[in-house]
Amino acid sequence: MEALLAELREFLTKEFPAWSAKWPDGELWEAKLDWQRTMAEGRWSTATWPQEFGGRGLGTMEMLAIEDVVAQFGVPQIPGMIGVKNVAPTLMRFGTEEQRKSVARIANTDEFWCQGFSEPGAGSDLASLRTRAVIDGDEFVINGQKVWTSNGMYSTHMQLLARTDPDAPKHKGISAIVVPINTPGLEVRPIKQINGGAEFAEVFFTDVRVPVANLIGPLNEGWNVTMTTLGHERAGVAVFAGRLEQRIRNLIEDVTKQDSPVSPVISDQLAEHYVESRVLGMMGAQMLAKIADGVAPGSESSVIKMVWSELSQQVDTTIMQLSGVEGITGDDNDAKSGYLSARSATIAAGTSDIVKNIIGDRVLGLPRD
Amino acid sequence: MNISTTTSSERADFRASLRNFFEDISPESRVREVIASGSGLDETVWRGLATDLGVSGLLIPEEFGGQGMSMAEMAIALEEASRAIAVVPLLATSVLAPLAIQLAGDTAANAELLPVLADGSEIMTVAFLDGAGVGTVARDENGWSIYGSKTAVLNANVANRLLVIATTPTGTGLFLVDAKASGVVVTPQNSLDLTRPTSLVTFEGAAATRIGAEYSEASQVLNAFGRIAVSAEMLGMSEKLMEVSVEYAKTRVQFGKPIGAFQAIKHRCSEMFAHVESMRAAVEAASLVDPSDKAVLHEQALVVKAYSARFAPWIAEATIQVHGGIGFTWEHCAHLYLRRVKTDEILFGDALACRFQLQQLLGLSA
Repeated sequence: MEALLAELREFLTKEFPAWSAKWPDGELWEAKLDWQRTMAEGRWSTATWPQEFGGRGLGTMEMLAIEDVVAQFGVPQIPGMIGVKNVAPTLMRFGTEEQRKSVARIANTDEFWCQGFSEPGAGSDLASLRTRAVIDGDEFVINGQKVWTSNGMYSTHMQLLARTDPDAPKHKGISAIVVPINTPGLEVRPIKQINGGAEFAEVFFTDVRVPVANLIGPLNEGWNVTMTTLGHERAGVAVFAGRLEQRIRNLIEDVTKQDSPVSPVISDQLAEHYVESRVLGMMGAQMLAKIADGVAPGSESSVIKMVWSELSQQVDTTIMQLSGVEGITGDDNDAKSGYLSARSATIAAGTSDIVKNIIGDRVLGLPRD
Repeated sequence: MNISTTTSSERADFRASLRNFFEDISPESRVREVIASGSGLDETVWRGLATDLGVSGLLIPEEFGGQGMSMAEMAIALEEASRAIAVVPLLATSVLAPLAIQLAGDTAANAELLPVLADGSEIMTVAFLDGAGVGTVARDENGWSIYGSKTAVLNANVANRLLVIATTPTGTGLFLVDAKASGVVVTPQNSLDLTRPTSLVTFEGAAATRIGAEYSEASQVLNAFGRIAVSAEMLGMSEKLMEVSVEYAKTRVQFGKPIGAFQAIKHRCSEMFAHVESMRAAVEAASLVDPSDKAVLHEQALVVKAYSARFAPWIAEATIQVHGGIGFTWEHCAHLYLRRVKTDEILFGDALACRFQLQQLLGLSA
């Protein structure tokens, strides 16, 4: 592990300044894509992929350690995270020979993938999705609408979940299908969010035709095909826990350096955030220790996700409070946009309300409604 | 004051044997009998803990007849004893007393006092909270004498000897006082906690033996251990209350379905679970800290106490709410736990007090 991380540090020490020099504005889309290509060439963004797909065949613990080092260097996140983390592992596991050709192109940004999951009528209850894919000869004919599609505006391909058997129970009649974004009948529109950004899209399908060969895995097995690869993403919440703890330490340090002292009430609120983040960090560390021992994490990931989302939202609220008037005038734009953006923490990847249902139903065995 | 040398599976076995012991010997019906007797001590449980399970000697080195274990093992004993709301002076006699003595670094006192604590033959308690408006002062008058009063002294009604933290002419000291000595008056209080009675103890020139030298730093360390210990107690009780609430939510039917099917109840139970898991992580981490690293111990103890003191009372209160009217009856166990949890919340500083100390550590407050 140490040799691996030393290699990574050496790589970042060399490549990150070179990239920064090449791209004075690192926020540019092209700049971010370029960074992803650099990380892929070093086989760092793809470290958990098997070697035959250009990865390093590493496990969860190594990946988490790599992400820690990457975070320490303050390098940008790769923009094609969804493709690298979710789509490519699905294609490697379930894809046809032809579909697997996309894996290398996902790494080097030749292809940029999104996942067409949520719909206007299927948010928390994703399995009730209604976008239909009907087989007509050797083609699927797709009609319906997707919403909250991350990176939909930039994508070349979509991993679509569509209903292929409307008579089966809701989890059973869904298939995963590859849809190139430039297919006729498909329209992508950005969704403007409360913070003014547009990281998500809505996608409309009107008689969109793709070959039946674009099916990923067996017909009507799309739910399992997709969820198995979401599974190993769960370990990531433990890292989120550690980062939130660090974020709160940094915030408190900044506050102590201010010229004017904050009110005792705010000081107590910060201490409260500190306590909760320390405890969250301990939970995260213990979950990682379990993974390192080869024990599959259980309910911890749901608890950490729930605590993390509520605490991180509260922290942004406190930062807004600390900004006072400057937060509402926009003179402190970071506080303002952080506050607005944080509203999504308790919604994305399962609302807090749904997470509490899941804990109640699956962990505590309470009766379902 | 060792660092733990046991594995997590050894600790799990230890927990299982304690759970069996308390379920057999100290069921709720037995706890209620002991409460009604007014004795404040379940002798059978206490003897079993001392002789069969060696729990009273966990924190005492083997050379003094103890087990030479650490807070990691003692935290488990505290969790399980509190889960059973057992009427024994475990916190006072087996945690605070042996730690108070060892922190004084007095070889003779260790040799005299630790063996009788290890075998459970003597009950001692630590008097650390000054009575309202009255300090506790030690004067050297051809031998030490104690003046003043201590309040909320745990299990003082059954203690043979008291370890008193008192102000000396030059600072702070730890003193040993016989509970029957002339000048000592132990007055049982109308304690909130029925399973662990407290007393007001007044000292009118009671003869005392000083243990060790200047004790101000040691008393800070004792406070840190105390915070971890009561947090472990709150964890054990919170876990039990969550189980009781979940069980009730599964079986109590209203409007034609189990109340646990209603999200208002389900979410309350899920939040209990999240807080219990958080407390568990924090108690485990704090009880595994190397106690020789005083700064880390101090910070971890404040964090775990600030968290537990905030959320364990919430869980106890939420338990009553989930149960509705039945939760408000004397017959239901909820109030027995609520009383002990609220007592633990206050001992060694409530959440606000712990956060205030953390503010100072973090530079947020002078």
